[in-house]
Amino acid sequence: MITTAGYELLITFIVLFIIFAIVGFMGRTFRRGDMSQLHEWGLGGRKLGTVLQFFLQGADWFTAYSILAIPSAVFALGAFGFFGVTYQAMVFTFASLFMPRLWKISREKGYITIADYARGEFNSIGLSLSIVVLGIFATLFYIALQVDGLYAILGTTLLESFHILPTSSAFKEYSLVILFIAFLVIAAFSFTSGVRGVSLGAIFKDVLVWTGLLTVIVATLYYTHGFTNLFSGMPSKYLSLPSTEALAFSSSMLGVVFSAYLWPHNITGSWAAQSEDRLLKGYSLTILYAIPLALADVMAIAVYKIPSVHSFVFQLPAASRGLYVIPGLLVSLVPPWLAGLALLGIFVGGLVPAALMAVTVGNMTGRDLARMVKANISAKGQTQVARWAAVIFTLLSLALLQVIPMTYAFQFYLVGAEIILQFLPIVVIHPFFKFIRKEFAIAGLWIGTLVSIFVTLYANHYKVISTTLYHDLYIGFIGLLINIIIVLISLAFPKKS
Amino acid sequence: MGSNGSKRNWIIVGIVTLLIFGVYAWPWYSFVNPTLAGLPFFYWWVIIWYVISSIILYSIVSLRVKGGAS
Repeated sequence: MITTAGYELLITFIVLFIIFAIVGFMGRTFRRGDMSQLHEWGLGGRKLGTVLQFFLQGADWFTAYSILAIPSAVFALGAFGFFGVTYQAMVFTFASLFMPRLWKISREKGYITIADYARGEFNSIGLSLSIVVLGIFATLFYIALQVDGLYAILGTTLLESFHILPTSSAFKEYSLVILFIAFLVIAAFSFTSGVRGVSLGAIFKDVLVWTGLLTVIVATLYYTHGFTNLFSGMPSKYLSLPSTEALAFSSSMLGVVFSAYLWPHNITGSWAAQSEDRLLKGYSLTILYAIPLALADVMAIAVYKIPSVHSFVFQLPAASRGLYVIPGLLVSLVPPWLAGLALLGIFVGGLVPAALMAVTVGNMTGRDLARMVKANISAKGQTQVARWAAVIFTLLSLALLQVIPMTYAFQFYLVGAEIILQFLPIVVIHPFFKFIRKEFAIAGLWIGTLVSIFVTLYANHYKVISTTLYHDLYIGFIGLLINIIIVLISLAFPKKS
Repeated sequence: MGSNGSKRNWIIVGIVTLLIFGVYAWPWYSFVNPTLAGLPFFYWWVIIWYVISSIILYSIVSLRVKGGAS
């Protein structure tokens, strides 16, 4: 049986999803370019201005997972969970430091992906192939993580409109069908419109998410009568960070800061910028996105203060409860149509980065793998391969999720970020100090990766992976240190030139 | 790099980077008072610096692009 409120929420959700799909397909005609060329499909012809950069970076970096998982961490852990938003300004400061140089090189030499860049700069197919393999592996699990958030949104929507509990078997069936449709839409519009479709979808998503987050903030403050009431009587770990957690807090933040803009899809988004000027302005403005996000994270505490939200969140099993904090605030505190709008915004927030990742994997496959198989492949041929690779990748990641339980997807993601961090010498150091030899670049990348994975397994006692910290130090840094030492050996073998 | 102008601009970029990392990287700001409208210092310090960081980074963009520090 559907309630009036549930009906309103559901209709808003569905109508807005249809609009989202139309907007994505319209990307094809947006600032029209020759879509048979890979840089047109895969980098939007490098024409994105400041505003589109803001929306694309925002949509791409502030995903469904971050909108739901960080409030979840604050709800459960207190101030420590806030690390997931505290690093935002550092992320874009660090990206501003090296990305303009990388952007310039990619533009001058016509590189589309970092694998492409590695092949050209280091004259090494081995390095390029390593980046493709490790990049695609890590990206697959990043998408899987997004789907965790998508399930929470669908869980809320079905619970509110049909009283179907997320733990029921009916929910499993329905959500699979819905996700399949959603991923088909994503695959179809990545195929036709490439990065153009993704960036138009990003504008649409960002507007809904901003509206949703601001609504949550205002409504929560209204019901709790301000911050003083919100924090009163809460345990001290919610008020500020206990000093024993300082190192873990800091190293978890820096692990993200240094790896964030090494993710291949984030590099794709950045290379789509029209100029260095637009790229840097886009970055600096994107930091502002963290303001409503941080305030919404604080609002997670309101679960303990508002009885209707408390009963919504606590009807769910403890393991997944946290992801329902923001959806719970929405359905309990704001009118159903507005809740539907915000929920759809967060839902699309998981789909847009998935689309950009699909385009990125398409770029890597079309450009790098295709040229390895067939050296003289035409520009048109590369684009065709890229488009189909994007579709296959999207469907593959959905299939993978049915095979691998969600808890494992999260652990692969933790390892994924450690692997991505190993790209740092190639992507950040090389553009400025050209001393790295290809043999040491490859060795550093793989040894750094293997060391990180091994230490992660060791730190988790070879059981289920639940942490990437070893004695409060982010394990990716241990791999990176060894990686950098190996790369520095290049200096002992000066280049002949 | 190379010319004196771009060297000076790179130093400015370096200072800005160190400033923003100095603000955030180590949680020395983890205390409750002074609160702002009831929000503990820990939270409002982090949020207010988003605005300041954004303004600083935006304002050095043209200096970097025209001054050869990018």
